[in-house]
Amino acid sequence: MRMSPAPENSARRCPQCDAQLNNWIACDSCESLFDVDRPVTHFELFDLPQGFGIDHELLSRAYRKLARRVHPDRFADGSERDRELATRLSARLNEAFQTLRDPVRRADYLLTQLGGPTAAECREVPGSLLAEVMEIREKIEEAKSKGDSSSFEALHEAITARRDSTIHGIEALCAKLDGAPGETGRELRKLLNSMKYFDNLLSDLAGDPLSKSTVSVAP
Amino acid sequence: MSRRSFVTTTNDPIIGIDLGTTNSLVAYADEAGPHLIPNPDDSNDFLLPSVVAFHEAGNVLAIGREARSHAVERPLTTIHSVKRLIGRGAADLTQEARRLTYPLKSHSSEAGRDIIAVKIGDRRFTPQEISAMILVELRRWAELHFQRDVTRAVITVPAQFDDAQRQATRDAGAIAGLDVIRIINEPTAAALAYGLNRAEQATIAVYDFGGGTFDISILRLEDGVFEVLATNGDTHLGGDDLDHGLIGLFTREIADSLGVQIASPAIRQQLRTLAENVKMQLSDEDVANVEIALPPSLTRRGTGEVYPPVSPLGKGGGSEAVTCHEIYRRKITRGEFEDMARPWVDRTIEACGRAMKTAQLNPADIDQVVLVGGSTRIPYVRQRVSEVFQRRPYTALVPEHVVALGAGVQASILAGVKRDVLLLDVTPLSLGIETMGGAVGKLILANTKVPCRASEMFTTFKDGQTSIKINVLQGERELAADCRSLGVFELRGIPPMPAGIPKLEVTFLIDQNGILNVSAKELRSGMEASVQIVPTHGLTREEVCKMQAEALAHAREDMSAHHLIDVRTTLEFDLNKAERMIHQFGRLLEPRELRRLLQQVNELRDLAKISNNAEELNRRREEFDRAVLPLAEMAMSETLKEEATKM
Repeated sequence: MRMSPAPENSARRCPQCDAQLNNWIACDSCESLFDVDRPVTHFELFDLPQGFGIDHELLSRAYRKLARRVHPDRFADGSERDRELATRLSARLNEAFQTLRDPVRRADYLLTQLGGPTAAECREVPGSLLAEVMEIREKIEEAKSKGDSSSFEALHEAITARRDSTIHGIEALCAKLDGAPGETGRELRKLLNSMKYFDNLLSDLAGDPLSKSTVSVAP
Repeated sequence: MSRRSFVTTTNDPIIGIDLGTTNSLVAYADEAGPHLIPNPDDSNDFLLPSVVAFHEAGNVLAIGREARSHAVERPLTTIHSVKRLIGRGAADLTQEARRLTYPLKSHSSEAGRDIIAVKIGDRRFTPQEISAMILVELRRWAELHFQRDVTRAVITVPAQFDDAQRQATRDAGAIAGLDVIRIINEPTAAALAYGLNRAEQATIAVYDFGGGTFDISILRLEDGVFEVLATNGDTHLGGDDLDHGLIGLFTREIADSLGVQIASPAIRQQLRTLAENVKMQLSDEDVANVEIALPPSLTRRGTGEVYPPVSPLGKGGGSEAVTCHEIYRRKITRGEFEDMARPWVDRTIEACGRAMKTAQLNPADIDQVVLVGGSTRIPYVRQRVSEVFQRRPYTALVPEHVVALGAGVQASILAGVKRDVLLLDVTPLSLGIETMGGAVGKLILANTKVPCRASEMFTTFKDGQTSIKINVLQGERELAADCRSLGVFELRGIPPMPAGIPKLEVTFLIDQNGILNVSAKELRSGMEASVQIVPTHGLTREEVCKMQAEALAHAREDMSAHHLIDVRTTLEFDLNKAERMIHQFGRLLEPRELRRLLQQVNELRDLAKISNNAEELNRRREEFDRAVLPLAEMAMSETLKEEATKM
């Protein structure tokens, strides 16, 4: 399953200055930008091995290095084409970085890369989840009608703990992924599908939808 | 080195502007670092009060400090805090409008649009136009400083500004004749100003409590890259609110003790000034004296709301004024002020907590806390910030100057002068579209790194339908009605097909400025669809162009930089006139003379394109006018002859 881009990459040369290319989107030597000419995975973009385990320090460093090359601020005086391309490549880079940085989004992406099932192909959730969610929702309503802040806190803690344990489950399944996802992939998809239920419960609990803390954001 | 360092950056300077609620500043940066540009009339003065005073008829009386001095005697035509209005509509401003001393009117009656304006005499000015006047003045400072044209600028906005507010700020720049090459977030700019010479790694919290807005941003600095991890805040929370807290207190007490309701804009303005002074005094002292003389007509009990002209406090020369004025007087302690300020400061502290949560950081992870904005001078604010981050804030730079200095740094980054630093920012608000039943389908979440992109598929639901309307929203709420509509985006030019067949891919791109760009493509035909936007709270391109032209027409003529444009225009006019004469009466000239004139016309046309030297162009124009004189005289007498034969 490892598909390191390294060998292919080292053979690539910049069409502008013929320098060796170290990445897929910009030349370190002459600073030209390239439209990615084939579908490059998020992992390839950062020259990281494809897999769930990821070196965050390497990822961040690769991200900053590429961002320096392709950020539109580098092309404020550049041509229309360069500015447009810089914006597009930066958007692509940001998407890739934020996907790989977050364990849930990374797992989702990896599963899709390995052949699925995707969220559209499998909408199932683990068997006991719906009953569990119903029960928690009732408790939230109860706490709301009482206006009891201590039970709010207890519920928040309980849901967060369930959410965290689901993330651990996702991580454990990802570690088992190898080659075709098969049954492990299906179980993984179910856990991924259940994430939004916990997020919704947390935002229900927060009640005031103005509170930004209810918006789940990649870490 | 790399190729780009040899591609010389264009010579005209790029300026950085902090367009503030209370004060505005302009800065630039060179190899030595950022510098503020002073008021040309006073080299120690860097603050331009963001105030424009008008004559009753609607022409500009003064901008800046002088304008502010008119606030009490001309409360209805002295426009302040316009930043609180920019990019917003009447529906957003019901609270705000009550506090202003000047009236707001609706600018556009078009369906789906909600744009406000300030009415002065028979004229209406949008907040964009008033802001443009402030920008023109700052531009003038910069042009006098550099002794050359300034056409490009970086302008800062609160991090929490939405798309409409950012667009409106950019439009204000365009009306002022500035190419706004970048909009950057104020806290991010502040971090840039502070982080100049630090090669090390650090996590920085920027607490920016200004006149009208509050932002908290948390950034990671590493390898010269400033990466915003999270931002939070409130575009309607600032020092103004504390002033209004004091004004409310004074007004209530005046009502209780003297039995009068204050309705006069002049007295409200007087109270506003008083509140500002009290607030500032309490930053240095434990107690402040409050004293205001109320005119006699106001204190006649039982008259209810009165609206008399008022002489400002302190004039006091007339003897009858001294005898008849009733005085409202009290002492206020710092403790009382802090009690009053607590709810607002609480809100800023809560936002700090949310930002840390989003960034997944604890106070112990924050290496440095930077204070920005005049309201951070308040000791109570400093104390609360120290508590929440568990460390003393860093205040090496003047809090009112930091943002402009950072804007100057960003300008030098864009100019290629400074190449070792890069800003990576985030979008403050979630972006979505209205779906069935008035819900919001979120496409991009708050705190996503920009530039960012999201695509969504649409189709038609009638046979042969060639356009689709999409309501684009920003905000965190679940219902479209609770979010801010950025406008209705109408996709046109869809090839006619049966219902449900077109596959329209709409791409929403938020650029590095936090501004939305929408494009659409019909995938079956590969045709680009055009996107027509009706901005809910913004101006159309045509409106901006029109305002730009009006601004030029009304601009005060003291601007040296516009001299060149004027000279070019005059030259162009003279050349066109000469060409018409040559065309009509050239036959009267010697062929050699005719050739010489035609050659001159061409030469001058070319020169006008390349030369930036107004003096030279003007001299050549005058020479040319003299050379054309014989032809002009012949043309004149020929015309007279023709007229005579007609009679």
